[in-house]
Amino acid sequence: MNLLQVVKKAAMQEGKKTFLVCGGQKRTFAGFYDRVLSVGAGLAKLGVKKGDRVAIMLHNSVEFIEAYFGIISTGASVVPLNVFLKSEETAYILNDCKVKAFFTSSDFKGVVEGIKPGSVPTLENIISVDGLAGIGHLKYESLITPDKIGEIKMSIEDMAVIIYTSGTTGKPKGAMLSHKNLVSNVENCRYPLGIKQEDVFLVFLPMFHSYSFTANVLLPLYMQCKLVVLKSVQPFTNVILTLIKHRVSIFISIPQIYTLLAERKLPGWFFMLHNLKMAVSGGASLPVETLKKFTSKFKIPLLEGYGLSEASPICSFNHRDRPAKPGSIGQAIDNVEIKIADDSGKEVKRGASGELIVKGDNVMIGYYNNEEATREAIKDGWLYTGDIASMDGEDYVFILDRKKDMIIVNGMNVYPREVEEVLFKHPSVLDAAVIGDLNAEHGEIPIAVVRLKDNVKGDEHELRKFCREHLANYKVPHRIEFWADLPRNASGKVLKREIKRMLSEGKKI
Amino acid sequence: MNLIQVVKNSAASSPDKVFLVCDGEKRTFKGFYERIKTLGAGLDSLGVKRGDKVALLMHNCIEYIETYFAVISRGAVIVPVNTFLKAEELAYILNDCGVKALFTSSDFKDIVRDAEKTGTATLKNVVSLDELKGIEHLKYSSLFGKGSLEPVGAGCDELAAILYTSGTTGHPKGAMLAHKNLVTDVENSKDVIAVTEKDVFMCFLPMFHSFSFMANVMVPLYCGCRMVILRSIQPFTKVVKNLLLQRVTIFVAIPQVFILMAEKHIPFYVLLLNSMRICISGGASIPVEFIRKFESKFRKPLVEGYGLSEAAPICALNPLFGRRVPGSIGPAINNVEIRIRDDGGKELPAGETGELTIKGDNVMMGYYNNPEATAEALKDGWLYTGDIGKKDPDGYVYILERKKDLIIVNGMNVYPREVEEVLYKNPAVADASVVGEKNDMHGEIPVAVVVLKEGASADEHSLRKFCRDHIANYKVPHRVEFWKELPKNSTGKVLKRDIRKMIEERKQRA
Repeated sequence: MNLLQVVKKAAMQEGKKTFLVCGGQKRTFAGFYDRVLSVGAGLAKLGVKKGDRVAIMLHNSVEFIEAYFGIISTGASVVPLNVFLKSEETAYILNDCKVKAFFTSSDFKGVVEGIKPGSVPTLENIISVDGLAGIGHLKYESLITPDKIGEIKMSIEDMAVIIYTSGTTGKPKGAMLSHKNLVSNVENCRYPLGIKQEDVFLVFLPMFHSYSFTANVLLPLYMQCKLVVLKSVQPFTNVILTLIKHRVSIFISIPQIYTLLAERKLPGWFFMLHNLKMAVSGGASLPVETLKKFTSKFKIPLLEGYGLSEASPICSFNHRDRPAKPGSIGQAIDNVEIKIADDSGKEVKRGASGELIVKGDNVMIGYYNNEEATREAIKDGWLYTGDIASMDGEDYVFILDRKKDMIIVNGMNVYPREVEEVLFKHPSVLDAAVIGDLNAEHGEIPIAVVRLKDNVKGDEHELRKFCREHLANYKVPHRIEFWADLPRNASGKVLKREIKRMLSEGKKI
Repeated sequence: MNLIQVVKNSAASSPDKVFLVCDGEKRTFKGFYERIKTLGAGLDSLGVKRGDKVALLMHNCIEYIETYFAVISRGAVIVPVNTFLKAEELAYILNDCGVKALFTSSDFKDIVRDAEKTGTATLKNVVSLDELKGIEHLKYSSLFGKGSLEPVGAGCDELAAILYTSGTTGHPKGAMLAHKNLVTDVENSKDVIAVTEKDVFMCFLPMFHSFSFMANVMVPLYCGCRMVILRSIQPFTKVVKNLLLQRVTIFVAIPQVFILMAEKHIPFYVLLLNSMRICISGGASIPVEFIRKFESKFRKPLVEGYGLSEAAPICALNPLFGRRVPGSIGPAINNVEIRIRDDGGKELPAGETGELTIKGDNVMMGYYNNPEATAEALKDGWLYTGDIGKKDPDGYVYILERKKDLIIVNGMNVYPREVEEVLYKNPAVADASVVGEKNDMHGEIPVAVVVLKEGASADEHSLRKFCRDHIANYKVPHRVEFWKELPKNSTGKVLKRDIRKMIEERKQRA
């Protein structure tokens, strides 16, 4: 099945059932399919066709999902944009994959304004859900007419989505996902997660994130479940009330939320009234302490999993019908293989550590326009994740470390190189290194160590402000230290591990 | 989705619903899935591993479908064998793809024994539904009771089945189908005829045939429908009886069956009581006059489609809702493209005649161990079918003739070369050519034209018997004519078109 067939199937089988609830808005499966085909027809009139790219920068909303599948119905590919991005980062992506149209809203007026007119030559139309004063745009509702787009031939191998993730080289890379990648990912985790049609999902994590979209939008759509959409996790009380009101049964979130839930005092009636059956954690590793506290408090299984955008993203889970091992990301989902390999790609002994590699229908086509990075990531059909892990005798996988220096902030990847590149642009910076530091609230946070040019005085506030102008806020170092030099090895490579050690011991150079 | 997920999904969504009915025996969807896992454990005990080939030579029965999916659940590859084949042909296939185990029944005792005599080096186990005298074998039932194994994982691009079809070079070729080929072919064709779980199917065409397996097994399995299995179309009264009693809604057959039904006297109560919603004809083309006759007699839509084993097989189908065009095979099914090309591979505009080429997730991976034939059939992701046709501006496709000399007998392909090779083996034959002739009962029949060696003598009867010893009966020429020489062009190539014309002229004169 391709992604549009998933929608069509739901519309045919459960047409009258409510699929989406968001504030006062509601869509049945049939109503949703109708709107999708209308958006598709509207896009086709704008000249969007098979092989084009269309970006979405929207907060969680019914329109996000409609636009997503509307784009798919034309045969074009969706480029979901991280809502935290700044103008420069956004313009880079729009140009990198030559986006033709762009769905957004007034929430992102500042970002859109910051993109210089003419700097994205391929961009023909900006479509806003609610207007964008002073910027040429089309209204979202104007796309929707009684016209429906006709059938466009699609192979399940066709590129459906490009997901940009932070790149090791400083620039984000676009992971190309096919229909097969995404649909099989849902098909292969529905049984390990034991999802049923009567389940109710809640999405409050931002939908641009591959984990949130696959587990929280595609999975309920495929399983024909009701999905309640919240724009954000804030205010948290709203999340709690929604859980009760809509009888939410499947709770999918990131470790930080579970830490919050485990610690926070909740009223007694909550435990009497909620309908939660299962919670799922992904995006970053879940502290065992949180797992224990959460499960003893809520008395429902909290299943930790693992994934990455390049694998659509889900690779493993603690399966619902098997004993969960705390600290483990569980076993591979159905029809997906995980191996722990040494540097030559050979499988290591059980218990030994090595790089986690993945094979299956969920593994991306490659990075957009980046053969070199693709060759480095996919060898012989195996995706090299860069995560260091071990596997026990029962195929449970334990993540130990990251091979790459990636930092995960609230479930979002930050490659130090990207932040360092910005710091290097600052006139007073001579040298810089960014590392991740454990943090209870965000999982990890970026910290910068900077060597200033001679006779320049360091101003942490000013440097962070500089970063904020160029980078999404979550990438901005929480702390900047000024050192006289950075530790390097003989060949001049910065020793990040050494920096981490020194920071933890309160030392500096 | 892979093929096993299709089974698992149906078992999860309609566990207690009856899937298969065969002579009083029944399987629910869940029961069917459980049997597959149990048989999977039995296969594992035989040492059947991922990538191994397992052949299936059986008449229609529940065990056929169980074996098919149990083999795939172990990551092994199923090789369905045409039940009309002779020992030599069977041996060729078993050796060509290195079959490790053969599932069969006493119906095929002689063929299996003779095939083993000619040498089947890779074959380790013969499993039979019943006693196979004189052949070392295991009982099918003995494979049960060895526990149950969860299916091994499979990506949807992995090889699932090898379907042998008659080859232009004399030997059959194995079309390799991936999980995705078969699963998407269901997904892309079921909506064209609006199949729902309420539909009831009946399968009397042999399941080794790709059209029969797709339309009669895969579609009901995927859509959660009940399916009634008949071992064969004979006796036809049994077909009619089941049609009525089982409330069959989707009737799938080959043109000859519809022609028979259009012509034959059918009791009025059958016409009155039958629950058919739609009839589907495939395997070969059906003359428009019979479509009209059938439809006016039964007052049910008869839709014609088109496919080939290399495309899993359905490529085109007349839609149930929307315009149906008798004489056309309909537009391409969802997400499959059909383009008409000239000899240079250039796409031709609507209305012009050329070769049908197909692109979509249903197109095979290639021919097993035959890169040359694969390169000839698959170019740039397009499957070259060898059929000549045209497309109207609305995308409706018409088949006009065949580029290759293929003969289609009762929906089964026969390449003349295969029959000619056998004739050449006869000591009396100097030259031979086989062509197809139109026939009401079989669609087409092979006719041989033979030049005898000087001084040699042979009659039609002995040559036909000689053929029957070596190849499946449907491939055997219905008539053998003895000519002094065969018409050839300057380079010595036999002119089949001329032969066909000359045969036609003689018949008219007679």
